[in-house]
Amino acid sequence: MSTLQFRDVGVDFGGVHALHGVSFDVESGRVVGLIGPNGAGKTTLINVTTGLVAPTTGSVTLDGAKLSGRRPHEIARLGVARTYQNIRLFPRMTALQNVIVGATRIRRDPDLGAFVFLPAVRRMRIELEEHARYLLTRVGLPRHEWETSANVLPYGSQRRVEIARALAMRPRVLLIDEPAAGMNPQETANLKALIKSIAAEGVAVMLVEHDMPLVMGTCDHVAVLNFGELIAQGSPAEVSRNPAVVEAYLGSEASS
Amino acid sequence: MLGALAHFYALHSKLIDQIGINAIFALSLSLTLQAGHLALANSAFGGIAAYVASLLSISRGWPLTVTTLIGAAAAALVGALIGWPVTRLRGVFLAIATIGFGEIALIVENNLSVTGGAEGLAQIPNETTTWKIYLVLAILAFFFWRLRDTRAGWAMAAVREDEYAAASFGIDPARVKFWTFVGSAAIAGIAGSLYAHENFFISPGDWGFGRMIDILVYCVIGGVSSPWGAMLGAAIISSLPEVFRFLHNYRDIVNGLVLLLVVIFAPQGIAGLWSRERRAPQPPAAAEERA
Repeated sequence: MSTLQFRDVGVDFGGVHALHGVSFDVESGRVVGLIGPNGAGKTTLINVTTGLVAPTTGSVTLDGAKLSGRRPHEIARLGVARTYQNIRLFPRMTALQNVIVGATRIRRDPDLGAFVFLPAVRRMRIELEEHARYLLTRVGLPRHEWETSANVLPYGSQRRVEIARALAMRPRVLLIDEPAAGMNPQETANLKALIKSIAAEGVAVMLVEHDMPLVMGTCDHVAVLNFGELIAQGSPAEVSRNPAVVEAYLGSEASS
Repeated sequence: MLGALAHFYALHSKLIDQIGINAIFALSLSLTLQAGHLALANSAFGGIAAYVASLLSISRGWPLTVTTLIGAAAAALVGALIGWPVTRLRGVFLAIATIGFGEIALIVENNLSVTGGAEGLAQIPNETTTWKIYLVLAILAFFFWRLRDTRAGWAMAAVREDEYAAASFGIDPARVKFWTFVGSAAIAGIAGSLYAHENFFISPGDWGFGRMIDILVYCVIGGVSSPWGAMLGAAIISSLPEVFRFLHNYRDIVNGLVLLLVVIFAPQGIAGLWSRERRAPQPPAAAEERA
């Protein structure tokens, strides 16, 4: 059981408060939605969690271990996985190869073994590929796209490979940044089921998303950011009734 | 048949040796290119190892294997010392920093008395032979072949493709860059020592920016991230002066033209011409945009 805790997280970009006093928890087995208008600081919070941005105040901890202050690869090794809003697959690797790189954290094959043709290395390679195929099936990537270079995959498929690659590291925490962008209603429905099944395996999931029906239908808990501050949190029903949220987010969407 | 081969070898043994040594230089650069960074100090590392190994051969009379290994270790050590700060630099800054290091190495070699200054070092025992060169090349080729399947090999490919994404899967890009830089220096050192023991004589001019560009051209012609392409590129470019001997002083123009043609018409190099990614249907912008 893992818990990701944000405590009084603040980020200043040269005098601009990107985040201020943000505190909430993401517990394993649950999906926490992070919503807010564009520029509210959602992706910044993901970047703080993964070590790309250092918080000016406060801290992020995973089961009591402080994440802030560590480098991105160290945080990843602790089991924090993410997907990128502006897709960052390894462009000239195939879908399958992308997922195999995702499994780097859990690989245990001895590096020198490959030079002496150690059977364990070959077995590990086969296991890695099987695991990658299982994950690509799970996220619903069509079989004929498995051996395709990531940069020529359709947009929706690229998003799916991003999730499969993140799952390959057997994460304790999964941060998903706008996975539904560019997906059709059927794909979004599949995505909802997928995210719920990931949480059901005991992963702590944080979902950043603009698609309100998806957020409301998937999340156990929703946190709302506006101009870098947490203005509300609670169950999806509570949050959607909250007047401050309606004004800041849903209201501004409706009027635009 | 055998006689014809022997005759060919007798005529071209010098060229065959040169191709092998240049292929080792190309592999040294290929190691850093495979991890996606452009460090341009391989000629300088070759020079450092060449001086160290030659001085040991001359003064102590140690065998080639020993002097070459010590020379390569010296190059790797210097590589580790300057690699620590410079591999944190990105793109063009790393390229410039390593070129700067190469120039410093030249100035030092030009001014030290032990290296013979600008006059160079003469009477290096002629211990390099064709089979030794190609044995080293075979060992390195095996190393590069197996490297692809290791975690280190996957980490290098991931860093080359996108170092931020690589870091978010537990790969430390700084570590990958540092160790490929050190390894690259060691391999360049082996090539440098073999070169010195092939030619009786070395001088600072052998390790300048011109040679570095030659090495870069081998890799670009062959295909930037492919060790096989790098070796093939070295073989082709090293043979060109021989093939175009009849053009006399205009040979360099033809060399330049070949490079231009490859960059324009086969930017993935020769290896890219038959690799899978080239055959796969690609929207015109996708490949260049990420390159």
